[in-house]
Amino acid sequence: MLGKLIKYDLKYGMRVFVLLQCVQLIAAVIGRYFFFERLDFHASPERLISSLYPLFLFIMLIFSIVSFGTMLLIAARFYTNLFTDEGYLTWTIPVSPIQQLWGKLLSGSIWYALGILFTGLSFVILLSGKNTCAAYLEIAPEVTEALGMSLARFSCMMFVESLLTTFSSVLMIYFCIVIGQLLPSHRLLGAVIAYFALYFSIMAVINGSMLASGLFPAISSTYVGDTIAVYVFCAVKITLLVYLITGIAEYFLIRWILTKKLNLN
Amino acid sequence: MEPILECQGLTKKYNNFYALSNLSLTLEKGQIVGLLGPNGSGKTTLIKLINGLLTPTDGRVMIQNFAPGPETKKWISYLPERSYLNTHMKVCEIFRFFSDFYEDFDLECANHMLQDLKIQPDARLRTLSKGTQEKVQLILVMSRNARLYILDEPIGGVDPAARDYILHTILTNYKEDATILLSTHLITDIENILDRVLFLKNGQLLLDSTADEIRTTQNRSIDTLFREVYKC
Repeated sequence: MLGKLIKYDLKYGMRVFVLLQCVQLIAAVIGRYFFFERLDFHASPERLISSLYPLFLFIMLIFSIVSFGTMLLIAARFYTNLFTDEGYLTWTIPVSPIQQLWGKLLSGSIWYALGILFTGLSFVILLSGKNTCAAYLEIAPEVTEALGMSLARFSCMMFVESLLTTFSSVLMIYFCIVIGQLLPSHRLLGAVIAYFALYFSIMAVINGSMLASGLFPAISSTYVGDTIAVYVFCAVKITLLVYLITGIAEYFLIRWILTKKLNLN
Repeated sequence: MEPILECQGLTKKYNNFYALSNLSLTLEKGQIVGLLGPNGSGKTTLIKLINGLLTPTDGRVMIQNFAPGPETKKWISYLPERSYLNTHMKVCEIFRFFSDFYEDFDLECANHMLQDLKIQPDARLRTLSKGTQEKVQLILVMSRNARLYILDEPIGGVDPAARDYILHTILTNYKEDATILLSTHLITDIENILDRVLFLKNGQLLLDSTADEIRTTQNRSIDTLFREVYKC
């Protein structure tokens, strides 16, 4: 049954997802061939920055819209399928609430992970042109020294870290929607407020933990002298730990609400 | 005989409003039961509780000794009072969905009914009229070999000709040992097919009687009795 649930969930959003990723890939291809490959990296720093700045903003805007669109797709599928009129069918098929939750978690995580993969691929397309690579090779030793490892390895590790947060990110979206359902007359507003409240709480815990472990170089000398990679990966470990703990709590709360507090309008 | 459905002290409260209040009833197998009452009497709330779409405030619902869950959902075929299908799907895709999830779904029977109604299997639901969409839902529900059919206002929004077809479909597709719980306001149309009637008022059971008892002992039709009981 779980396989069938995932199949129908993935089928539902396929077109929108493909469209979003196509937009991202096309933006990366345009960015590479029409901007990065024509960029003069030996120009004066002022001129280089003035050329790179709008391009960087444009690419980040497109990537953010696509990433937000993927999150909306995951949220919309969960909300419409479980809590609108469609819920009358979803909740009357012979499947337990826990299976429903796992179906949504796995399908949502697949969308999310695929989204990250396509974003990674788009960055590779954008930055792997001859012109950019040649320019990078000139500063590669300094970058490697500052990072403590090659840029490629650093990027791969950051990419894997993003993939590791997939499950907890999807759980967080579902948790907020489910919390919103406890307020029958303000479901969407409740979900949005829950999202911001949870997001800022998690950020506060992460920053507090980093502060406690001396990970803010500006106020602590613990990490002075280390490479950027050492600092970044210590911060990543703390972030992953906080996401793991909140993810477990979110999972059990969602499970409890879906099994004990389900009330469709 | 083992009951198909038992409700004991069933209560559903929304803030200070009781949609159902301490309701107890038992349904036997092989009956067509009319669940009757005016708007707001608790019919849909009761139906949603039986289907596990609401959590009771108090009391319990048992379907063949099981609380609403995956097991009972295998036995119950439910037609809600609203459209619950994804309208982007094609009729044949919805049939596949039902085949995938309900072991008792009879695809051949569903296709046969679809042909009878001249509905194209590859038509997307959103391209069909509201009445035709309701018919597709009815086909899906009545093509299951369920133990309990729960039909919430199945003839509410359709014309008299479609009503006849729907009632004919219900009667010809249900098995004799199955039970139908049918909620409606349109009593005249269904009066003749009912074995038993339940009258609900303000979330409480006002009357639980066989259709014959009403006709013989009270010498009235169900429709007449309904009008008297719920006179404004």
